[in-house]
Amino acid sequence: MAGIKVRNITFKYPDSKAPVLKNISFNVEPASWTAIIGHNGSGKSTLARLIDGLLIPTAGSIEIDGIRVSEATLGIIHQQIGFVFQNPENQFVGATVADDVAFGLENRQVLPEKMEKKINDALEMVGMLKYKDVEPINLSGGQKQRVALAGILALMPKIIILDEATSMLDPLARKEILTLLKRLRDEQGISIISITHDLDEIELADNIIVINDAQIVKQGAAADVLKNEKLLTEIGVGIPVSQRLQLLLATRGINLPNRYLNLEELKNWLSQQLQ
Amino acid sequence: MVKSAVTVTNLHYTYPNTTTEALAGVSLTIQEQDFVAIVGQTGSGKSTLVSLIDGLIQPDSGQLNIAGMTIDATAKASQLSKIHHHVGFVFQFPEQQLFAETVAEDIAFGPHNLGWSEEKIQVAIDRALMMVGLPLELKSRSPFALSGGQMRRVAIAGVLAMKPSILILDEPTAGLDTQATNELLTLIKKLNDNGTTIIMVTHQMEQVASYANRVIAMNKGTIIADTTPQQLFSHPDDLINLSLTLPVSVEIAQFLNNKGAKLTNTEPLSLEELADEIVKVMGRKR
Repeated sequence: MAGIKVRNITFKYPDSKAPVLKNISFNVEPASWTAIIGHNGSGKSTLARLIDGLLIPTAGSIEIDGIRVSEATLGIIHQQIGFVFQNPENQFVGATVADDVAFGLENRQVLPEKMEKKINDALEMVGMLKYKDVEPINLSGGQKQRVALAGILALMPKIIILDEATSMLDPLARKEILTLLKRLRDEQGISIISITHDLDEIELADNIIVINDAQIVKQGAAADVLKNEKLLTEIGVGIPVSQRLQLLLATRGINLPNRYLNLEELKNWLSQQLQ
Repeated sequence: MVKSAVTVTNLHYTYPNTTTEALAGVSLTIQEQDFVAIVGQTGSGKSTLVSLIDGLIQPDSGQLNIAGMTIDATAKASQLSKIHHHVGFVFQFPEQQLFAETVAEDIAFGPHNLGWSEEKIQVAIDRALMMVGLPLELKSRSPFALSGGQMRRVAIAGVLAMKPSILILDEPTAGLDTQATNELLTLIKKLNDNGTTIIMVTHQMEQVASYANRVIAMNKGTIIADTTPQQLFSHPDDLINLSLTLPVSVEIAQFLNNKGAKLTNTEPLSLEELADEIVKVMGRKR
């Protein structure tokens, strides 16, 4: 299990005047799920790349499991973090799906006799085992995203960063992948950071960080942030179904419990009321 | 009188180097100004059907009638390309196909291929940009300097510039955030209200519920349902067998009734309808 400490980081690309991120601080607890949300261009993808050491902050520090992220520690950091990018096209290297998943394992010098099982297990988890020998180019966008995730799962990192990594999945496949990730958090203690505007994905998070104009404008427990309809609308994410239905019921004169209800909780509450 | 925009009769198609038919005898009629949603899992034949309607591929047998033209296995390539004067196709992730140096050049590509005059093309570019809600200043910009949502709109403007009377969209909102999704769907609805026939391939059942007047469900290359959204959602087991989901409003209503609530409308097509229904039953209990 690994936690993340981000302290006062600022980041500016060399060719731009204004910083992309200003004075960002937060913690990610081990075995927790953190969603980072905000408009396109708000700096959220940059933040994910900073955590992974793909970019180095202009000021401030990031610690993964007590180790400060720097060029010198990148090897250790990358053993802990698996990063799944939005566009899997940019990530494929293998001639077949299995080769592609093998790539990361080979880099870690996993013994060939152990490799086969790891590859099969990872592809099985994302429901792509039967595509093992297919060329990645013949897959749909959603299938490619699943293979990209399998490539990371084969390595079993302590932290998984998802940058819009479910955007091309159909609703059922997305549900399956999100259930899988939830299980990895609960059973394997993996920390998840997801950069997303998918409300289903956001609702699964324990904590939410909202970034706007390079700064954190809100962070806290998901139940608190998801109640803030004005902010969610402002950043283009929209209001979760459970909140929208509660608002509609409230304007129709129904008294609702004075706490955040996610969709499951709302369904159960309504069911009791309607007995 | 309602005129038919597309008539498809017993269409068969098999992709080269494959043995299974991608379309195995499909017949349907789409009326002018219909808003048709096509649903089904990956590999069910949705994309093949719309590719045939757009003349991108030619049927092995069967026949298509589009805007007075008849296309069958013997049609010539020149006939197929005439379809593009009537049918526009917005592919999945269309922004991946942007290529030109400026937004204006990219939008001009389609009209140019239709052989329009330069003057007519310039008018069409401005009109298309306004339709998708982008400022005309963007014309001279590189499409690659825009945000993802803007790039998608430029790609769609390129199709709208050709003034298609039938517009096919394949998962047009995939990957967009809620705000961009709502804006795009509002645009599609407006086009439909102004007379464009819409054929939209989608996995998003909320969109089917809110926008389509008709839904076609496909499985293994055949049409297994051609009905209204409400009718389709009244048989949830069939949908689950097809790996399709229910719109969340319908799912909640059916969950509540399975637990013993007595909602009369078990297929509310929006959260508003669902809220009305819940309030009715709660009112009765007081």
